[in-house]
Amino acid sequence: MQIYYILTYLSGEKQKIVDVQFEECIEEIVIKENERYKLSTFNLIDSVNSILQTLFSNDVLLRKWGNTPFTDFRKEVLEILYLEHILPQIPDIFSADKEIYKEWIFSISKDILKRIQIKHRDVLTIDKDLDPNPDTIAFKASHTYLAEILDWNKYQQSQIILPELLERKINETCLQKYPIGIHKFIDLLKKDDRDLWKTTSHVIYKIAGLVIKYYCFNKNNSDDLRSDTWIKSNEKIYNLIISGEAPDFESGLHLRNYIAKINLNNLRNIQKKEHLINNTNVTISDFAEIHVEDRDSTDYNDLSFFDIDINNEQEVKFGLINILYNKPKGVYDTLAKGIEDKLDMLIQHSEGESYREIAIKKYGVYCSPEKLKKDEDNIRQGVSRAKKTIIFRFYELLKKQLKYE
Amino acid sequence: MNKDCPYSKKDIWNYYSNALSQEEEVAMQEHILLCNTCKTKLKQLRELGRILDEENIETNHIEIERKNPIRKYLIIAASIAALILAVFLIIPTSEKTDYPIDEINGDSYSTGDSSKVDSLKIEMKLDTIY
Repeated sequence: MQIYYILTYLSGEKQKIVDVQFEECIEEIVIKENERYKLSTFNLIDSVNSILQTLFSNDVLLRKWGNTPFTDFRKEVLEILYLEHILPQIPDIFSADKEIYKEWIFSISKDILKRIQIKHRDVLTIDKDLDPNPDTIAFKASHTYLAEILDWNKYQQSQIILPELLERKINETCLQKYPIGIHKFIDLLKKDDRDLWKTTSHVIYKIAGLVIKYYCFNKNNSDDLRSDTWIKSNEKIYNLIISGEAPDFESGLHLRNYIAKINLNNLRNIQKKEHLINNTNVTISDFAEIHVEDRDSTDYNDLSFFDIDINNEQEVKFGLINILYNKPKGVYDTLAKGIEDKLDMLIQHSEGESYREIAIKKYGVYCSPEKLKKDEDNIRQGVSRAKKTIIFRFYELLKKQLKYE
Repeated sequence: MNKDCPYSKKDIWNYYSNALSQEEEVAMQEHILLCNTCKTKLKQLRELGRILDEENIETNHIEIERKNPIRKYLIIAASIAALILAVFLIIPTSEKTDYPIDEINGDSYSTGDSSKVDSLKIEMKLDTIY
């Protein structure tokens, strides 16, 4: 069907007229809706393609096409999508497994918090003191906290709610309850909030690294010392907070210095046992200055790369796309070491070039068809191996982060 | 490259990664439908996802892990090391020299700002502990 809709928009002072195809427009609206609310991930739709085919021949949409502004047309597409294809089956899916429903809400909330955090990047929060970068405490999507502030039952009872409206409700609540302050943070740690403890362990590990860096003369065994110190400190701090024996922290800075002190004491015990020499000139206040340097390097735009659930294949895939597309400094270099050329070809392929075109570009067009076929196969295999390698390395990197748990 | 396009590669990433508000997303969506440069970039992101989907990410990772024989020997070596360590830990030490780890009362660490003043106190405390 070749129906075109002429959209106009202003770019500077010039008005442009662009043709947009009916099918293309509907496809983008549905695909994006699926990406935003993870509809197929949570089995709320079976197949995007089959739904698209139905929508392409929908009479209402065909009638509206060409004489409705884009926002209204989009609204119409989504209404038909939800009323005819999604909402009728939602009660069955969610009543069969309430955990899936909660995970769906959690997943939407995680994106909402990411957006709130980006908007509040200049607001002073507990993150400025504790420096969990690249993770966050102030805007952490914590299962415990979200279960506390969101009314799951109310949402579940009103299932004829569109995700867009649901998102608005969650957004309103999160704006009121976030960022998390020091008292709420400690309160959640006392409740053994696993998501926040994971980040706290990461903070303890980072501070242990600073303590080792500035307190040890001998740098040869610093990795082992850091690990030993962190393991002991992590356990100690966990026990002290859970049992309520930790002091009432007045600020994030107070907690950070407490962690530094415990790390320092543990390190000194280890050093004494192993007869190592330390740098007694370094004090806890030095760690404060170091933290200031660290904080300034925060890049909130790379947030989607962290806080990835290693058991969630979609999140892992998403993290990998981020790495391949944005090539974040340091991380990309580590993961792509030795396979940079193959990954470049992978990117070229994703841009629409076939393996044959890549082979011609690389080896020239003047070779025999047999040689070209061989080169094409070599490139295909090389790219496939590089893909496997980067997936493996990415999992290893995520596991390394998880060891802080 | 469309020089009239006001959006960057990062903006397309933000759209794809759900980093935009609902209103921003709708505006961006309309723009993408009209702009071939942005459309191509978005298509590339989705294509990357499709290429990665060709690999069963989880299974692939486990397979590579299984193919790594060094890991097996490392596990055995680590087990032996843990056993030796356990034997040493069972032997009691005659001298108890540990610092009280949770000894954080007093002025040995700062509870807030004014780090300069605290730093002097910490130094004295550390010296006296040793």
